[in-house]
Amino acid sequence: MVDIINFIVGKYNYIIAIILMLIGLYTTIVNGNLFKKVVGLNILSTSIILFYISISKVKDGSAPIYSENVIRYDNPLPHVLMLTAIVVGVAVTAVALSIIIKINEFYGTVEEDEIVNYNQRSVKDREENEF
Amino acid sequence: MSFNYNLNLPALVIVVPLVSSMIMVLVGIFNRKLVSYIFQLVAILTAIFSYHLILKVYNEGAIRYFFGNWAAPIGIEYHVDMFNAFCILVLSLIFAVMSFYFPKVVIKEIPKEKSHIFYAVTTLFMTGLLGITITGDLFNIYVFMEIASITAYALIAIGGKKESYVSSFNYLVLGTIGASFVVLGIGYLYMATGTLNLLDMQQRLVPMYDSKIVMVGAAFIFVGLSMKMALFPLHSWLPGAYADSPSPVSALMSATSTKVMAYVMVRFMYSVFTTSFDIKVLPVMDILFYMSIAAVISGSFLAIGQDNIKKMLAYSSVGQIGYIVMGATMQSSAGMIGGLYHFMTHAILKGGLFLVVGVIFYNMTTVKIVDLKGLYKKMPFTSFAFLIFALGMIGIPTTAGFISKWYLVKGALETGKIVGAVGILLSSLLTAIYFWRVVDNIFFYKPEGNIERLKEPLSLMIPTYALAFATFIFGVYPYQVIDYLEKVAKILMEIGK
Repeated sequence: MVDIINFIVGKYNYIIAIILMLIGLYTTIVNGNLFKKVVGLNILSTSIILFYISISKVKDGSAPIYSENVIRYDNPLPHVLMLTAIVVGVAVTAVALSIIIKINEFYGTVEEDEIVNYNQRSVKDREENEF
Repeated sequence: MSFNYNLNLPALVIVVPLVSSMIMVLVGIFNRKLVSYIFQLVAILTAIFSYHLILKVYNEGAIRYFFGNWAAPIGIEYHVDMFNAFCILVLSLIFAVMSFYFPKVVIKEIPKEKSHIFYAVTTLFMTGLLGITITGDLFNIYVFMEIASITAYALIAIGGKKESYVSSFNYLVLGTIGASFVVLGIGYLYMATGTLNLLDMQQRLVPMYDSKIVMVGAAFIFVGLSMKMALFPLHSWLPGAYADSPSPVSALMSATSTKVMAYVMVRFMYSVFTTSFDIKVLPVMDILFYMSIAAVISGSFLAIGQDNIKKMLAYSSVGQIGYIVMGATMQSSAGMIGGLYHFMTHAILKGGLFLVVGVIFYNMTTVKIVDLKGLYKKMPFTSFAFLIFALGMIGIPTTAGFISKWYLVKGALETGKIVGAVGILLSSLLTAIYFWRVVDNIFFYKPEGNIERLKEPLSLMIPTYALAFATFIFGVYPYQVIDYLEKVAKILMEIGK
């Protein structure tokens, strides 16, 4: 029991990262609303950012800014990598949202099943027109 | 300080298209016509650079290019060996050939006020793909992957077709999940080794193959990459993305993007992890081998049922990516040669087929197979080019498709994996069936309505026939390429031992 509690307390940031990741994946896969899918993707990428930031921590390390009487520094590289990942996330979100606006313009909805219905209906209409 | 062309080649391959894509947007504000010329110039320049690059690598051995003179584990490195020099050359040559095809089709299919944006985004897309192949830094692979993907989402939707937005969104969701898996896997590997450099990581990983962190990281990376390259059960984004995009985009994407992901997978399999990890610790090789057989057969099966020719070619791409993966996971040098040869062959053939479909769409505004009845009378040159590529895809001798299938079957028999050989032959048969449907419609049906010769513009025909010519060249004289690939396969196989 003590082992489990120690494990959870000692590695809680990793556990939260994994939980967030699963929430993100679940939201993306299950929701039919395209907006909610984008939100899910954002949660997913945030969980990865949290994961990278967690691995940068060094025991007893201080912020990676040079000063005297500091022996150990945290690893600054994952922070830098995550700056790039944040930018990528913003770009993906921007593209996704602009595509959703266009979908809403053409289909009048952002629900996935309604879009599928719309496509099937238009196929039916075409077939009826042909015969 | 003078500029040394030879020393800076690896950087030039990336920097020239990257910078010029920005310039294109700027020039496009003032003069849209000029942009297409800049686009062609950039494509040719990139091809020249990569040709010089492969010569240099062939003569002098692998190049390690350090950015800002920070040596390897600290700084970012571009690593060019014989393997990725080959991939870069194939990509940039395909890009150069297709750049001549673009202007005419772009006028027809892309809204006029967006044409300069289209050229800029296409150049950026190629920058991303070339960057993935050239870089020697794991996080850089992720960044370039995202550059290529985000531009691809935009390119699919740029034609303004209703369905293309939905396809683009589907690709966006699955592509982002795949890329997130890759970057998470890279994070695990970084956690274990403390380095992002490809060669450095390979050495540091060897003693920790039993570590769970490495295994989880590898699993994430391989699943993410399979998603990105549309390996069979994860392929659902690909048919929509290829079928609903404008024809120049589907031609360029089908010839390049999924194959680059296959390249990254081979890189991870042989250069980051070694064969002893892939076989003994985590059976990646075996799993992917059987998945690739499933991809080869099911992709061809799904292609049979399509009535839209673009969708048919897209499903056939799902099958063809299986060949490349199969060759890479066969654990024999002949299989590796076959897979890498198919990297080039499929780029030529599938690119060429989509170019032909683009010409058909240019004249008739249709992509339905039933509408192609009697096309031979209307567009003889286009129909003939289609026939050549179809024969290549089936793998008739004297076409390039035959050589790659020959080596794949040879590899399968050498390693005793009869299932692989059966899968290849079965899928060749299925390929013959679905291409026969189209060829039948084109050549052996009487056309409906009036028969008149439709115009086949020279600027569309020359790139198409350049690729058709290449199909025969690499089918009849494969020796030089095979010799080269033999060396590549030897290098890749030896790393593991």
